Amino acid sequence: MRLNWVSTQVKAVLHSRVVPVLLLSLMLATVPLMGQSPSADDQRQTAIALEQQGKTAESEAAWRAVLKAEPNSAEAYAHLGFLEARQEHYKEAIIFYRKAKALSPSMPALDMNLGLALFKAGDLKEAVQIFSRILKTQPAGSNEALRLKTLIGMADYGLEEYTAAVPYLEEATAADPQNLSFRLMLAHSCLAAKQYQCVLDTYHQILDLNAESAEADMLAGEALDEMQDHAGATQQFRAAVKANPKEPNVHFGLGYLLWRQGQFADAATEFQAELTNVPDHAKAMVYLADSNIKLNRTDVALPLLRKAVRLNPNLDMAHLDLGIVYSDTGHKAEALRELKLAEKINPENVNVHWRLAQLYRAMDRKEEAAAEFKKTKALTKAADESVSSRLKTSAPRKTTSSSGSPNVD
Amino acid sequence: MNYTNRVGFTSMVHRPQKPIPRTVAVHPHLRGDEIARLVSYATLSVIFILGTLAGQTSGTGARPTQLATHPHTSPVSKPYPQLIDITASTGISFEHVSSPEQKYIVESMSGGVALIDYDRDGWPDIYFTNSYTVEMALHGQKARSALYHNNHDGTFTDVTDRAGVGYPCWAMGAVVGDYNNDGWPDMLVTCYGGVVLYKNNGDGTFSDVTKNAGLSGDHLFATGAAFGDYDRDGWADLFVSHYVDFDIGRMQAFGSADTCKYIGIDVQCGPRGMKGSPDSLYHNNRDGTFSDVSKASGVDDPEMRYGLTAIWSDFDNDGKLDLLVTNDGQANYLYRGDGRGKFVDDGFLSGVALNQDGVAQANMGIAVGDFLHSGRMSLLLSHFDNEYAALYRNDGDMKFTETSYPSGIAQGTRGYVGWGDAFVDFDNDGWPDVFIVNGHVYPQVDSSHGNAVYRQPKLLFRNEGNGKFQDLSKSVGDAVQVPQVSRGMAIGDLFNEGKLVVVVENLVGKPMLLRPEGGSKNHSVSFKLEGVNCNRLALNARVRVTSGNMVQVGEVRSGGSYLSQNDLRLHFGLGTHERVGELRVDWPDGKVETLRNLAADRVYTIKEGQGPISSMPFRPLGSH
Repeated sequence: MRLNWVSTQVKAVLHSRVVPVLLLSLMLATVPLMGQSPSADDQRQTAIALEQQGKTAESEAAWRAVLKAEPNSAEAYAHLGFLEARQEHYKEAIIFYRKAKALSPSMPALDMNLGLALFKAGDLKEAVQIFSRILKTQPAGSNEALRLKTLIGMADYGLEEYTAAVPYLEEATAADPQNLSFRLMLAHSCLAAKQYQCVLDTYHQILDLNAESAEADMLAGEALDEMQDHAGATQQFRAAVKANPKEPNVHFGLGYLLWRQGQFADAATEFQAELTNVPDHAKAMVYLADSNIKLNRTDVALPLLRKAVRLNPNLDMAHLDLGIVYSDTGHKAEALRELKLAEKINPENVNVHWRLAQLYRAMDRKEEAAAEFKKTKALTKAADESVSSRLKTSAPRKTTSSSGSPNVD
Repeated sequence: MNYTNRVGFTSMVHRPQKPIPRTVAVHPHLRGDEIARLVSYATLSVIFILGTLAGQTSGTGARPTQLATHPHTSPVSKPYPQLIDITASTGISFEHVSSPEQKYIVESMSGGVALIDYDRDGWPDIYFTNSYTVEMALHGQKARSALYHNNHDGTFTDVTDRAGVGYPCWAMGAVVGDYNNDGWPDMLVTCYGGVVLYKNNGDGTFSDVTKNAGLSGDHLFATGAAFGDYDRDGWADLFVSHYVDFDIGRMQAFGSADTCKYIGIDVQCGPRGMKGSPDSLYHNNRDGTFSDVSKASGVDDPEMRYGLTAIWSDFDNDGKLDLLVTNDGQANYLYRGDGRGKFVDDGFLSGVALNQDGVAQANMGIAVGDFLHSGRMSLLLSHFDNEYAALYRNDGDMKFTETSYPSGIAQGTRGYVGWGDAFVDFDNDGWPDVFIVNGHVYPQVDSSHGNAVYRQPKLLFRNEGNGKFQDLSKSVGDAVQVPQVSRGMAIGDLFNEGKLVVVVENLVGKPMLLRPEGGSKNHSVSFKLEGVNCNRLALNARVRVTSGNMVQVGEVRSGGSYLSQNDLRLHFGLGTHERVGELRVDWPDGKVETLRNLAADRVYTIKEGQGPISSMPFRPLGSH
């Protein structure tokens, strides 16, 4: 499912060539420590040599030996942290890095490695704080600054702080124009940040890298839809289907656009295609059912809805549609049960209350019907007021041509 | 007219786990209690024994809600008439004033048209409303509305100046009523800035009596209006709906806010984001004046929804007038009347406030008709292009069920901005079809990437007699497909030939008159009703026509469609039936009159208590 795209995408980037390069380039410096005993120094040299030879376990044992001799060796903790990070044991690495930092707050590169370990462990918020702090110490335009900005952008993206991510990711893509992952991440961020023109600009850049990117077509489609260009959005999704009919959600997206435009037969075709790709796509199943209801094919809709609620009992639309179908076929008790379930999942769905009201009315349960009509009315009014109040807060420009109220009689 | 994206697309397919906040685009049968009520109603009615013409009349007062059943013969296999554009031959040269860019909402809403037999010669005349542009208003210029006299030969003569109805106001629509019960149809024009009441002087002229009638206090953006005798005192009262609080001195600039965007392009602002205006009900004082009873009656629209068309009808068949008001982008009002001047909004309870999905649509035009021969008045409301025309089947007892999709109407009306609409039987098969005129609000859509177009064709759906409609829009002649920016629409047998003609007023350019030609040679009949004890125009009188096993009901109504007025005469297609077996008239005052065995293909004038007082045979156009 695309809904897990963020974590998937961040993980993909973390495992890409970008972060390992950053990590390796920032290996801890080995700093000669004054005042160490000869035996401790020997152990230290041995640990470093083993570390450099890639002998992780041996190196780790050597550093622990150093620690035994020097319990307050920040260097040993730092290297132990590094060795854990190299094994992708980030939580353990973080513990060692924090101990090292407590003992030697100014140890070179320690902050960066802690930040990277936090980043890789998914503690993006603290990672961003650390990267931002380091960034202030780096010369503007330096490679280090660019690396930090890239990391901050990715972390912000992972934190769903899309607006914050956009400028960092823009710099990252400018510095690495061939990096498709960065561009896709940027496009997603722009979309989520409602910077639709940015999505479209990035989309064109992605096409330069991969002319057949269904994912990019979908992103552009989503942006166009948000820009109210529904025809353009539909066209874009059709292009996405053409580019890769197996792309997850591509048929669902096109189907949804068509469904919303009332083109239920065509929408049904797309939802069915999505189900061919992903047989357990519960939402596609519900929308396919709904399209069939609109096409007066409740017999087709009913089994789809039943299956959808088995797959995901929390889809209010599935319960609502089951309520509608049962109601239309005279199964009032079943209809009531389903509508009640829909209400429980989404108490603010005006359609559910509207249908409940009509069902109660048909069941001659007047008081309950009146209560549901009242809720419907209240929700409708609230929606109106919400829009109105939102709009009133945006101060309109006034025309300059009008010069008072003329006599219009 | 401006409309919210109900479900954000990004939230459906976008990858991020956290939901992205959505943007707002800126846009059953006769039951025990029913029977009891009808029995009660019957006891109050007056029985007439009349000895005129063919069959004789006898009266009972129960207004029938369940009509005779009949074997259904599908009308779809029979040829349908072509709708021919006869505008050029009529001599009508009227042209509606319009601003090319339609930068302000007040420039988009006009265009109501009224059929009014102002000289009572039995031939409907036509009144076209006209509006200003903001630019004109700012420079003190006016636009001329026009009254065309029907010459009985297929042509019309502009009699505006003599009639004195050329410059009422910044006109939106017009409706007909006889406010002073003198028998001469008067006319109310709704305006940006109030209403103008024209008294018909009976000599081909009208007088502006707005002030004397007590209606000059209305300075709001008046849109819909309808006369109806809600308290059954024999005098037509008046309801006026109002749209938005639009001040030409403080206009929001084109494209300047979220409410001034459509599919990503800059357009006029509103109605969303604008303050609405309350509605008005005026009680007829029987002395040529009206009293404002809006608040006391309960129809004053305290929520100030964006009112458009309004119409009176007895939707629950209880003998008391109810009132429907469409609101643009907001819940409709359906006020249930108690017959004594009090109303309760049953919009939500009845099911017509919202569409089937619980969404308030951009409700504009109203068509009322018994398309199922159920004896109950169902509704068709026209809407915006991202919606559909909504068909509400009247199930009785003030319950409606939306059947837009099962009927096929929804599928055929998506993508069009609908305005004037009507149940109309062009082929005279006895089953009212649906006709809708369209035209977008924003000229700018033509330069957008979307599918929307400013000029749009008209739509015709044939009633299959089983609750379903067949889209014939592309097979009834080229004229229907001519894209126009239509608004008002009125229906009437303009030439007394047994054919219903459509008069379409376009916001941009000339009107269009469409006359049916060809098709099945079905019979039809028309009735002009004259009230005596009830209001003189017999507004909201109902006629039930039984021919063979087909039973139809019609109602005389003021207003409707989109800010327009249909011919007050009632027209019924009879199919192959050459006679009306039984005709029942339910007069607004509760009296009932029954006639039998009337010959088809005639226009009858029926006077309350006297039966048919005259009749005239239909004749082909040009032979009168």
